Order: sequence, then C-alpha cells, then structure tokens
Amino acid sequence: MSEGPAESAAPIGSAAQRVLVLIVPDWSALAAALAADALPTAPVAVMHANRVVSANAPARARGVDSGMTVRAARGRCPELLLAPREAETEARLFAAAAQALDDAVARFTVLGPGAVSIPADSLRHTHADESAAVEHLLNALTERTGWEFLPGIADTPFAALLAARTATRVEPGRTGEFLAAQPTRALDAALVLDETLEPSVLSDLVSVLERLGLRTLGAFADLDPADVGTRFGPLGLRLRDLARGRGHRGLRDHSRAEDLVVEVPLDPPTPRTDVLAFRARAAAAQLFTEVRRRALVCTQVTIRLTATGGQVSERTWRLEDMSDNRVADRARWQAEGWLTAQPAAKRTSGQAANPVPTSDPALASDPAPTSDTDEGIALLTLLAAELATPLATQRSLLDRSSGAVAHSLERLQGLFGLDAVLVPGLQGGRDPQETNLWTPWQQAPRPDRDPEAPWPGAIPAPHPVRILRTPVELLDTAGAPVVARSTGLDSAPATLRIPGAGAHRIVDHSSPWPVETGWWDPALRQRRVRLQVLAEDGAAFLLCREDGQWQLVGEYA
Amino acid sequence: MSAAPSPVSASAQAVEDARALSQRLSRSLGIPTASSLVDRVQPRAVSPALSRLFARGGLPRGEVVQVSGRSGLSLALACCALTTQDGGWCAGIGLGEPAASAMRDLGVHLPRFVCLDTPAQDWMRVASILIESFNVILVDPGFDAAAGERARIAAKLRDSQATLILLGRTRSSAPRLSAPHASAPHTSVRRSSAPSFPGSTEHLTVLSEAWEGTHAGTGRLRRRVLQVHSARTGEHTLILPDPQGSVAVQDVPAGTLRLVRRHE
Repeated sequence: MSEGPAESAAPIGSAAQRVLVLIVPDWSALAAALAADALPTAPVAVMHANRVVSANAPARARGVDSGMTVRAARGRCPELLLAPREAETEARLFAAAAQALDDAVARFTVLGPGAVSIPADSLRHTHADESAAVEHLLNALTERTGWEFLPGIADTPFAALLAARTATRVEPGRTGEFLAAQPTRALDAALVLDETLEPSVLSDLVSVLERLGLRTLGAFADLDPADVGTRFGPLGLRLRDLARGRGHRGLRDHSRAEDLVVEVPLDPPTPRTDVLAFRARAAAAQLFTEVRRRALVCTQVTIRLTATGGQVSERTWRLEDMSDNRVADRARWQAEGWLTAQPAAKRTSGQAANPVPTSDPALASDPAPTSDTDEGIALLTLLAAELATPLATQRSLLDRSSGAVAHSLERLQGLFGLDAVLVPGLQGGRDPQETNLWTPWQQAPRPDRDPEAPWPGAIPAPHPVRILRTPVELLDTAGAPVVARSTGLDSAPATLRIPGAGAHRIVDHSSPWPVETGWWDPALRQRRVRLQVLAEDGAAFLLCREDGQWQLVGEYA
Repeated sequence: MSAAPSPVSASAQAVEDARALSQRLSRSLGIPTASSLVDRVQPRAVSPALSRLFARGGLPRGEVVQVSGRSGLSLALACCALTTQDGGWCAGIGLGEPAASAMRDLGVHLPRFVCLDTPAQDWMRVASILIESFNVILVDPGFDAAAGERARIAAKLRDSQATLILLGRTRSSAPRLSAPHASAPHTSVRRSSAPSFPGSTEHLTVLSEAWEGTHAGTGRLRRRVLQVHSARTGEHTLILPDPQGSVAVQDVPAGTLRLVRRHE
C-alpha cells in the first residue's frame, strides 16, 4: 500500500507521486540500430556476456528472444546484427532524441535510457481523464519520433514502469495489489531507475528469491524488513520498499526556493560540451552541498541551458544516486542533443501546444543555436527539482567510518581541486609509469590500457617505488653518453648526472631491456631500452632511453 | 611499630596504590577506563617481518613514527599495508608519484590508499584535516614544523588515535662525486635529523641498503637487504623488497652482509 503525506480520498491524480511512465520497448536494440545506422527493418540484437539482452521487433519476429545465447540467436536469424551493450550510447541517444518530447509534453523527467516519466497531475490540466490524455500523448509522440511508446500509470515510478510493460493503468490506491501480483523477475526494472545497480548482483538476488519460493513481489514484500536486511543488506531493503509501492516521501512545501538553484554563467559562451560538462560538475557539487546542508537528498535535477540568442533548453533528470559526475554527464548529453538537433521549422513555441500553468518561465525548447563563432551556451542553471528525506540513502553503519573519510576528502577536494585527491590503480603497460593509473576520488577509473592483457617485455618485480620523469645524462668512464642498442650497451655506464641534483657514481647495472612495438603504425611506434643502475651509495634507479635521450623513470626508494 | 606488615594492611596498601595509579593514569595521561588502557596499547598490525622493528609489535596508535633514510618510503608503505587490508584508510602526503605496482606488491590494498597531490607548504593543513578520519598517514614534509605546531599535531593524533609516519628529509639527493675508488660498501648512517614530536617513541633509521642481482651488467635487481636501526629495539636486517616485491626476514647474521655485495 503506498503511503504518502496526507493521502485522502483519491480523485484521479491526487496521490503524491502518481506518475505516467512511457517506455520504448527494446530501447537497447533500438539505440544499437541507430548507432550502427541500420535499416528499420533490419533485425538487431544487443548482447552481453554471450547472451542476447534485447532484440528489436524484426528480430523478435524471427524468433530471437532475450536470454538466448548468441549462437542460438544466429541460428534463428542468420542476418542478425549483433552489437555489444553500451550504456553510455543508449543514454546519450535517448537524451538527444527526447528533444522530440519537449513539444508534446510540458514537464517530463528522464528516468533512464528508454523511459520517461510525467507527473500525472500535469496531465489533469489538459484532459478530463487519464486515458484520453495518454492517447493524445502517444499519438503525438509516435508521430514525431517514429518509435513505439508503451504507457503505464501507477502511484510510484517503479510500479508505473512495470505497468508500462503491459500498457496497464493501475487504479489509484491499487498499486499495492498490482505490485503484489508481479513476478519477482520484474525487479530488474529497478536497473532502469538506478544505474548504479549491478545487473549481476540483482539477478543473483532475484534467483535466490525464486529458489526460496518467493515467486511474486507480494510474497517478497510480506517478509519482515529485519530479515530482508540481514540476508540481503541495503539492496534488499531498497528492493523491498519498491515492491511495497513505497517510494521517496516527496516534500510538499514550496519553501525550496531560490537557494536550490545554481547558476553558472559561461564566459565566453561556448558550444563545446566538454567545457560545459566541466562547469556543470562544479555547479552540481555546489548544489548538492546546499541540499545536504538541509539534511535532504535530491532525486531530480533540472538542467537548463540558455544560449546567447536567448534560446532555452530545459530537461529534468531523475537519478537514484545523485553525484556531480552524473549530472555533468547528463548536461553534456542534453547539450549534445540540443546542439545537433534540427533547427526547427517544426518546433513551435511551447505555449501554444500546452497551456499548462507551471512555475517555470521559458519552458519551450527553442531552436538550437547555430554553431557560429560567437554563439553557444551562455548560462547553465541547475535546479533541485525534487527533494526527499534521506531514508534509504543513508550510509550503512557497518561501513567503518567511510563517511568521515569521504567528508575529509571532499573537503580537501574543495580546497585544492578535484585532482589533488587521487586513488592509485593499475592499468596495462610495460613500465611502472605506464601502469600507474591515478583516479580522482569518487570517479570511476578509466584505464587507457587493459590491465588483464599480457604485456610482453614488462619490467618484472621488484618495481621501483617512486616514479620520476627527469631527463638525465648517463655517461661512461670516458665521459661520453652511453648508447643503448637492441644488442646491448655500447659501453658500461659510470656516472649518472641528474640536472639539479648532482651526480651519482654508478657501480653496477642490469642487462638492458629493449622494447620495440608498434612498428606497423608510425603513430604507435615506440623504441625504448630500459636499464637499472646501482649507485655507489646504495641507491638504485630505473632509466629508459628513447629517441636518443636517457630519462630517469623510477627510483627504488 | 614498623613490624612486618600484616596481610590485611598489605592488601589495603595494594588497593591504595592501585587507586593512586588509576587516578594518575586518568588525570595525566587521559586514560579513563581499564579497557581503554588495553586498546590504546594495542598496536596496529604490521606484517610479521616488520613487527620485530616495533616495541609493541606494530604501529603505535596516536603517535608519530619517524622513518629516515632513502628507503624510508618502501618501509613506510610496507608498514601501512596490513592496515589497508584490514579495512583501514591510509593517506600519503607529499610522496611524489609512488608506483601502484610496487605498492600492490608490498601488500597495500589500493582502494584504501589515497594520495594527496597538494602543495608542499600546505602539508600540515592537509594532515590536520586527514588525522580526524584516516588511520595511517604518511607524510614527506615540505618543511620542518615549529615546536608549537608539532605539539598541536601530536595532541590531535592522541585524540583520534591515528598514526602519522613522518619520512625523513634525506631524499635522493646525490652526493658530490667522491673519490674514484670504492673499497668497502658505503654505509651511510643517517640519524634522524628531523625534530622529534612530543610523545613519539618509534624512530626507524635505514642504515644501509644493499642490492643483489645485477651481475656486472648481466642480471637485474632482485632483492635489497636493508639494515634498519630502531630506537627501541635495536638493529635489524630486512629484505625489502624481495624478488616478489614484498617484505621478508633476513636470516643471515649481519656479519656476513659485506660479502654479498658485489661491485667493481
């Protein structure tokens, strides 16, 4: 049963969060088809871990179904186009394409790739009842984008997502019963709502539930919360809340006013999305600090981009786990979608189509600025569109003081910059400076090279402890620079001269390690020779000779 | 009157002594309960090869450990390795760019280690922010702290029970080119030149390091034998790093050390 503040007898749309969700079925396959420029009639399927995850309509007509192995799929349909799963592309394409929704709908929120939610009370203004509103909306949408949308209405976003799969309308107040009848498999809809969930973890949990005999969400929701928490942890508790039809308790008071808006003027105005994303990240950090100061959690963010000509693009995004990087990503997708959209003959001013009184002023998404030199995005505004009290978003007590750690590190990042706090990691490479991967705190590591791949010619253990990058001179007993060839050194090194730090007498050295790679491509070509030297006072260094110059690469400190 | 004390008065005397001791402990040293006495004494775990270096068998809590000598960085990283594996957090300030592969080989759990790339003159400010939440902090200070600041940091450490490992300033500065002969291996006894912190009992100094493995240009560096002097437990010999990159114990008595090193 869904709870919410002040739930009285329910005329349509009075429930606190009654929402209409529109999903594009098989969005992964559709996005892959768009990215690969395939014909609309070509069968396309998306695979992950050798199984088909999503297939578009022509593929399904030929018998390809999600869950079958790639070989079985190819057997059913030899001309199937298989694409790997790329979450970033899906999200980006959907954000760009959701431009089309701006005209048809006054206010909507992007839940995730392929899913859009609209608060039901905004429908109430234009149409007498929900079904007429939905029909009108679907016609308009399908006309503009050419995709099929399935609608679902229920009291919480999760229930509405499930309802959308079967194009159902759940009566207000009956959401609990609707959810109770769903199979446990339906919990994977939570992946759309929360991109931080791992699909493998979720499917493990669902399979455990099924083996325990809990085949419906109702059975799962009836369990004691203490038991669920003990067995499955915070993830289980969150899913149980979703299954009970309880979402966040939305805040009703409108005192969330001007403080929760952050405006960032971009000077000079820029059409470059990477600059925008960088500023959006800083602005989002500021916004969340303010939100946190009020002991709240932000679940929806509105990103408004204003161009030099006065055009505005505004989009609301919903995220379970708000972080400034995610907001920056979404700002970038929104800007990319907007700037590459067709300047509109078809885009009329929004007021004519939707006489919806809203609190936001320029709601229409105007034609995008052209990429002239002086044009671009001049103002970025972030608004905290939906706030909630942090119930399930608090950190676990068992996580030993990581909250205090995160707090200190975020404070240091605020003082010294995001790149001052770094976490070490490993990536692929042959030399210690190649294998070092530094990731700023709380960002996902992005290795340039695969750490799992074999790297022949890599320096073996023990590794130098400190990495340096100093050009040095390595001289032999005669004072001439030591030359390294692939056959060995020309002369034995005797002196290592480090500019600015004196000279060391070299007493011993290792055999040299030559590495030559990438000779097939002038851009990738690398020829280097690595050498370990031992100085008289016991210090050991790792040197590397490339392009005729010796470099001090590591110190065995 | 001063006959042999009867058993009753002897036990009463013992009770009096215990009471006086507990009052002194709680008042002057800030240890209010017996269990906190045990907890504070219990050190942070270090790998078995290193536990002989410390008086209590591990890193002391709430104190500064001073490590000096060129190989101080490896030694310090090896000391904090087990703390990261147990779920504690370690931070490094002013360490330059340590190599993640070397850290992993020494046993450091990389997700629990944070490296601070901050200006050298701000090390004290950064350290004081981190002391509240981190368990072990490694610092290569950009400058020597004044006496008042040292006392303040020591007080903060005592409060939060974190461990601060201070690396000595003897970096890889190269000496002038010495006389062109080399007879005995050059053992540099670098006593800690950094000023001491109030309450810090552990001072580790690397006396000498000897690499093995490079056979006059035909081999490669395989392992290093360190002679470490600890202010509380005397001299020890360690292998850091061993051929796999981690710490091990040297069983060879120190007298035969000289023979192992080869040079022209």
